[in-house]
Formats: sequence, structure tokens, C-alpha cells
Amino acid sequence: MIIHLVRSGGFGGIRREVRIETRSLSSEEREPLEGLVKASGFFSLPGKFPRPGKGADFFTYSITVDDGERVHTVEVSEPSLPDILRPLIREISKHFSG
Amino acid sequence: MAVRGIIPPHMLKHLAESSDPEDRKLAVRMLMRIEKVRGMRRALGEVYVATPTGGRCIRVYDVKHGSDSDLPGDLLANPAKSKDPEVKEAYKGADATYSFYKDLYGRNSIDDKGMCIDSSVHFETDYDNAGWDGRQMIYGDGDGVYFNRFTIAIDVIGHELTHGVTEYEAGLVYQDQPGALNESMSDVFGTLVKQRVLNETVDQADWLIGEGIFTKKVKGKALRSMSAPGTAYDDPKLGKDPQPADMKHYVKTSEDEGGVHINSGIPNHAFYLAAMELGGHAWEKAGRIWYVTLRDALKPKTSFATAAKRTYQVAGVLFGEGSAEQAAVKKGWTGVGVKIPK
Repeated sequence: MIIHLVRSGGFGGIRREVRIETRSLSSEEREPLEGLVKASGFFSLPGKFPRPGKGADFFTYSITVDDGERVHTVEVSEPSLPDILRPLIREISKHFSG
Repeated sequence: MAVRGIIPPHMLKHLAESSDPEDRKLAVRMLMRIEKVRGMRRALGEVYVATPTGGRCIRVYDVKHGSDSDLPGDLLANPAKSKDPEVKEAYKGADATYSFYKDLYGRNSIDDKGMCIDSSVHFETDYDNAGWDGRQMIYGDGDGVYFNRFTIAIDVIGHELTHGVTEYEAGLVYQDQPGALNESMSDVFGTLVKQRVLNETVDQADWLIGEGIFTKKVKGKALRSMSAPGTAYDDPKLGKDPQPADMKHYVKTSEDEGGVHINSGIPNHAFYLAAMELGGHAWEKAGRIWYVTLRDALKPKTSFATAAKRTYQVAGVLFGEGSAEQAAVKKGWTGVGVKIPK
């Protein structure tokens, strides 16, 4: 499985990006990631969540997952982030360089 | 203080007679404000116009590393004296921002009706962000490796609270140029709150946004620079400050809502140039022009060029057509490659 996350926006507007090939990870790292992709029903999620009408300085995420059979991208801003996606984004974010 | 904002109606005449319907609407809005204040004065028999009561209400909550659904969290007693630096800073920053708007521009809180200013600290875990969610402010602790707690910089607090002001006034849409203007307004008043607390003149100020948020590990002095956009940081892990200082370097991107935190460098620098031209305390003239523009003269989809025109017109109304203040505003925008439309 290949997971690609781009985080933009936030107060600092600092772009962070990570591309993970799960097979190159240890099982302790791979299992929660692949498990959360499955638990979130990632491939059934809409490609775009509505932008929040109010608020500012929130993070914006673009997540792409390729499981070998399917490729799907989800774009979502933090205030519209469904609870089902939050743990997955937190888990992927652990892999930002540094 | 609203009385100080009174605009001689004859100065609005040229606006009221403009062929541009937007100019005419601006003149009408400003005239209505004058009439409102006059009516208040008459009712009080020309005595001092008392400030509205029910003002300063500042609350700090601890969300205890919870998320959106846990907001606002536990209300804290006596935040001004808290031993938790994040609580104390959130309180003091909101308090200084309230005073800034109240003392200088006669504004009573975010909505100008004395609404409580609510802040929640300890949002999520190792959270590298601060934000305004449309109701309140949230602050993360930072990851401790690259980012310190976000309350450490008072301009960040002024920045977040100003997002609330913008939402209640101009309602600038958070995307592309209006979004970058929204961001810039927050940086402008955020840094002015800091300058006023430190009692700095334009020459003494650092014009940095978020100074102190980076840990020592990061090669950078702050998140943004208004005096030299694009130079705030250059770090092997976090990359380089992407802000442009002029229209020639405007960044077209779909990320960050069309680069609202990137292209804000352009109006930020325009404000800086205008303020430097005028000297002294930036909140007195340049800040006042920007504030009245934000309050009365912008619409949700305002572009940089229209914002430039509005600040120029407001400077003419506040300080006179052909005044040094108006010339300074023009110089600011010209300096970033934004031509003021006729």
C-alpha cells in the first residue's frame, strides 16, 4: 500500500508532505496504518469534503491511498474533518520527516 | 473613541458623487456611521459619549488535549494568575488585543457588541497550530521539537482574534486574494497589538509574525516577515519561507486555500511600506486607515487592487485628499506592484 499525505495551511502555512510504502515499514508501524485505512472506509469516502464556512488558519489535507487495486484521493480541511479520518491523519503525520 | 473617527461629511462628497456604485455605497455607509454617533451625542446633550457597557469578557478554557468535539473544555478560574504559561499568555494576549481595539479604535470586542473572547489551550497533542474556528480561538502546545506553544507570541493571539473581527465586518472569503487579504489583516493587527504592548515605533518593531514559536532547532526567526516577506526561515526540514513581497512573484496554488498564508506577504508588505513612510506608532495612522477599511469598505470577495483603492479612499476621508497619509498608502501598494485603480 502507498500512502501520500500533503498538509498545507495552518497558521504558519508550512507545507508538509510524506509518501509511505507500507511494505517497507516494520509490522508495528505498518499494521496501525493499514488498519486505519480500512477502518475509515477510505475508498468509499467522498473525494472532497465541503469547505468550512467559517474559521481560519486550519490545516488542509490531501490524502491519496493506492492499495494496488484502487487509487483514491480525499481532500479535507480540518474543521470538516470527520472523526473517522482523524486517527488515520494523526498516524500518517507521525511519518513527516523529522 | 468612535467620536474621533468622525469624518467631515464634505470629504465624502466626492465619493458620494462617484460613478462607481461601490464608491457610493462606501460613502453612504460612512455617512450612516456619522449620523449614528451624532444621534448618540444629541441624546446625551453633547456630553461625553460613554462607552457601551458589558465590555471586557475574556475566558480561557483547558480542552485537555481533546479535539473539536471536546471544545471549549473546562473553564479556568483566574487565568491571569495561572502557573500554566499557556493559560496566562492566552489570557494576557486576548486582554491586550481587546484593549488595543477598544482604546484605539473604539471597538468593543470581536463583534463590537462586547461578546466574550473565548480561548481553549492544550488543543490535541503536540499540535503545531493555532486557529479561529468561527466561535473561539484554539491553541496547540507545539510538538516541542520544531514548534513551541503558539501562545508564546502575542501577535499570534492578535492575529486569531482579528480573524473574528474580519468575519463580523468585511467577511473576506478564505480563499485566493480575499483569503490572503483576510490573513494579512490578521498579521497587520497581530503585529500592531505586539508593537503597542512594547510601545514600539515603526523603526523599533521587528515586523515578524510568530517570533518565538520555532524552537532553537529550526533555522529561522519567525513564521513570516512583513518587512522582508520570504526571509523568515530557511530550514532543511521545514523548507523556506514561501512568501512573495510583490505581485510579480504572486504564487498560484490550489493548496492552502489558494495560498492564503503565502500571498498575504504582498498586502503585508504594502502595509509595512505605508507605515514606514508615515513613521511613529504604526497603529495611529496606517493602522487606523486599515481598520476603517476593514470595518466599512471591504466586501467578501475583495481583490488586492480593490483593497488598495479602498485604503486609499479611506486615507483621503480620514486625513484629507492629497494628504501625506494618502500618499503613503499609495506608495505602499505601488511598492508591491499593486496599481490603485481609478
